[in-house]
Amino acid sequence: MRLEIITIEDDRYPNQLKEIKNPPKQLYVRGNVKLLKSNIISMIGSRLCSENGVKLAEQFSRGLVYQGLTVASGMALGIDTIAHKTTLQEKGKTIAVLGNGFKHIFPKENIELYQQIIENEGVVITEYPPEEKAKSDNFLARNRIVSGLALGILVIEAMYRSGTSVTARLAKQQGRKVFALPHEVDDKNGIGTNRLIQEGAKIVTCTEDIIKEFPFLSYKVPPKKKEKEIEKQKKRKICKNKEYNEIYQLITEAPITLNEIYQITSKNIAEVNHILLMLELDEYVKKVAGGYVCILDKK
Amino acid sequence: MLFLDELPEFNQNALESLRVPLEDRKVSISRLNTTVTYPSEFMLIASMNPCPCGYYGSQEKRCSCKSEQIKKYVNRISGPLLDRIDIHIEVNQVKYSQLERKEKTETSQEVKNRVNQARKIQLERYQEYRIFSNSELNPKLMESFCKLNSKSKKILEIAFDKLGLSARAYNRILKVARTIADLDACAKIQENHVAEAIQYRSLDRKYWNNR
Repeated sequence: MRLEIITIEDDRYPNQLKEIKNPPKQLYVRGNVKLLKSNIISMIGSRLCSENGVKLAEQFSRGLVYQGLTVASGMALGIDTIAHKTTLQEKGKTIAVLGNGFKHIFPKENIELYQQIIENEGVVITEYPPEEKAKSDNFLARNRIVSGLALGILVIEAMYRSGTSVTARLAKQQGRKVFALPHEVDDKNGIGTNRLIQEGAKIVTCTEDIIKEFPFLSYKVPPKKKEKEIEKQKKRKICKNKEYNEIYQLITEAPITLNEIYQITSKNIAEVNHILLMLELDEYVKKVAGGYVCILDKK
Repeated sequence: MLFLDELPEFNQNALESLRVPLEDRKVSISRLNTTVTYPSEFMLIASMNPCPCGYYGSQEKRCSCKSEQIKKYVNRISGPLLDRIDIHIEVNQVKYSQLERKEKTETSQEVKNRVNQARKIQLERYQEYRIFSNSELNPKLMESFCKLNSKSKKILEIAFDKLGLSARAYNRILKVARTIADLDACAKIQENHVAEAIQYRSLDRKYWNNR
């Protein structure tokens, strides 16, 4: 996908972004330019995120995609990466805003993600010319675009006095809606979000809370749990081998350990081990921290 | 027998210095003029938590560690050291109810008998080679004693590809598979033995280094 330059006079330049105090004069864009004019929610959070933060970021990305919204973020490590990745997995649209030029993708870990975003109808934008290297000032400036593009920003996790909190305050100044997830009082990763809520950010516990804030959006009710379960049953792969199937049926989306499986079945531990490996190699199940989970068909 | 509890909490240099005795079964101490070499045959057993707080992957309690911290913690154990440990097993928290419940378990006596049986098989097999157990097999001997059938080879091949096992793990897996076969009183290594041996290398797996 070739590089395009969109100046502030260009029709394709997002109107939302023009409204902010110091909009970038031009944007360097690779990918699906049209996305810049869609309904965007930006997701932000710590680079050093907790496991729980990862889970929440995944959950909300999925929810936003289901509502047909575009998920924007800054392609940094941590929450940003999860937001982009989950959105792509769910076949949603995602925008990555960089704080560097296209010749120096940063962080290096996300070069692959950068390619994937462009290839899957997402878009990557930056206000910096291709030669510009990553430096910390740029990232602060980048954040004004992340929030400026969007209808609102969703803060997953933020530590005390973190860059995330700064971005959230900036968004407020720009007149963007700020959404924050509540955290436990002693949760270090939640001090920032709790404080944002004190300062007037909207507390959200589900995607519906976000949608309700925008009169022009209507909430699509996701399939009920029962239907979801049926759907999942369908999505589960069918294991033809009878012997393997006995074990496969025990493995759901909640991790189950080898020992637990062994206690339920009539097989000995060596047999269970053998079958689990075969199921894993055939991509019926996968091993995660805490045990085995089933792999669902993505079709 | 050397048991190291909380392995990642040990000084990195101390851990790395274990590599030579684990491999060569000898310790060399160099002082000003002389080098003395002592035999050092021991079995290493070590335990560690999955993350600093200990709850990563737990169903009961939420892990409060950051992904970076988990990575750092696990990375304190270097790959080469990990490669010299034959069997990795993950265990879960034990709940009180489980302590009381009577489940199908093997008694220590039964286990001992099985182990002795397997040792006997190995002693007889290696009589003329002046070694005692599978762990002492050198690559040449492995060729004759750890032969795999085509099915096992296929499993191993796919496993290496999909699970991201390190190449250094190959010999370990074969030796462990040989031992599992001995415990089964099987003259030849079967697919299920190889499969079980692969399952015992959970720390090598990709998922552990995923984040």
